[in-house]
Amino acid sequence: MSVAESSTKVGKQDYWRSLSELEGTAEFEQFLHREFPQAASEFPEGVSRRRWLKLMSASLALGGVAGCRYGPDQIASFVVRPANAQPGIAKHYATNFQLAGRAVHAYVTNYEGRPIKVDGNAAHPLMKASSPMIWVLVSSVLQALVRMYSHKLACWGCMILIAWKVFIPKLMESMFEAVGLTLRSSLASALRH
Amino acid sequence: MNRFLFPRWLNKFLPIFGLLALAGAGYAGTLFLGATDDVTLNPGFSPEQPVPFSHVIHAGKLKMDCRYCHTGVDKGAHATIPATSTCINCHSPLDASGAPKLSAVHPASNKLKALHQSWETGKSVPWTRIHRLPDFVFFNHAAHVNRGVSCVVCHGRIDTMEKVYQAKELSMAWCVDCHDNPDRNIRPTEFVTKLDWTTENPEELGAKLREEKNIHPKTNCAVCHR
Repeated sequence: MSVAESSTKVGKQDYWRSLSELEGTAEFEQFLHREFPQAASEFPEGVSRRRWLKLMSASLALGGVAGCRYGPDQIASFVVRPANAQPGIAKHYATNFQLAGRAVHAYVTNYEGRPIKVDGNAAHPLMKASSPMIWVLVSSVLQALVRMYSHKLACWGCMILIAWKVFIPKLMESMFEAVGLTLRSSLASALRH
Repeated sequence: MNRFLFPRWLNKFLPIFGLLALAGAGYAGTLFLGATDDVTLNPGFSPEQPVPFSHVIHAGKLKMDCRYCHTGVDKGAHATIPATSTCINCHSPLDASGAPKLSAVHPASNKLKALHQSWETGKSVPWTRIHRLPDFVFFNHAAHVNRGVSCVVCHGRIDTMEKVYQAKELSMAWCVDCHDNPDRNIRPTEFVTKLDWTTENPEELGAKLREEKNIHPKTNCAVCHR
């Protein structure tokens, strides 16, 4: 019975409890009248129930033996290894980025492609007076970004871009204003000296 | 009588408990022996690799240094399997015009198919790992190589292996054996990758080098099981 048919004979008794019931396919009819799928409840001829259970339980138990030996491992080598990349050893480098309209000089610790710590570059003359709180925030935001990027979804990318370009600078700026910890003033004081 | 006493009828279970204990000991013993047996530890393991790379040709005949490909061996824990680009330096595939880009060592060889495929698709060559320590063992290549323990000590004469196999047991007993008596396996660092290097009295030289460089291999658990 198709949906169209069933809708033509609308009667008082014509309630249905699922779309498949409404559709009334052969599979549904079978499901309605048989508890188990076909042949599932029939034991093979000539094998007693007891013997059958024995065989099944033995095969189940022996299935565990497969776990006694480890399988071979694969090594996924790089196709082009990034310069100086040594697995297990963190890379450090100095970089700059723009935050709330200002250039910030950072010192990044990178472990196997993941930035695990972003710090103020203490060797940079403009970064003498930066607040450590900023770097904790930047580190955690950056890690979140890296995790998000790993999904390789365009919409995520857009969200991150918006977050990075618009939301975070705004947040930073307002935070600085509020707490009196403005990067601007610290930069300005650093510049004055 | 306020003291609690086990009822007398429990006595007949005592032999059963005894048997259970014996069975448990047997089980533990089998596990231990099985886990440390040579066959379990897999010496001689020599799987088919996607590219039939010959160390005989590269390391033996051409005398390329191990570190040309295994660049990380003296820098960090991992020796590092070379990136596809390292192989492509010599074995670059033919491009659309029928000429290889970098250099033409067997540019159209069938045996290098997996390699060229990796280069074109940007996917790793699926090498099978041969020397495999358990996950709870942390071996550091640099720590050994930089103190003069040669590759040959753990990997055997790789430069004579047409197809690489696991030459040594790589068991804990085997590791500790050398950590207890390292003299025979310590050589001047300049010969670390020279696998056929020999000296008249390795023990004496090793002892001397250990004295000079202050090398004291440790055997407490946390050195390898971090």
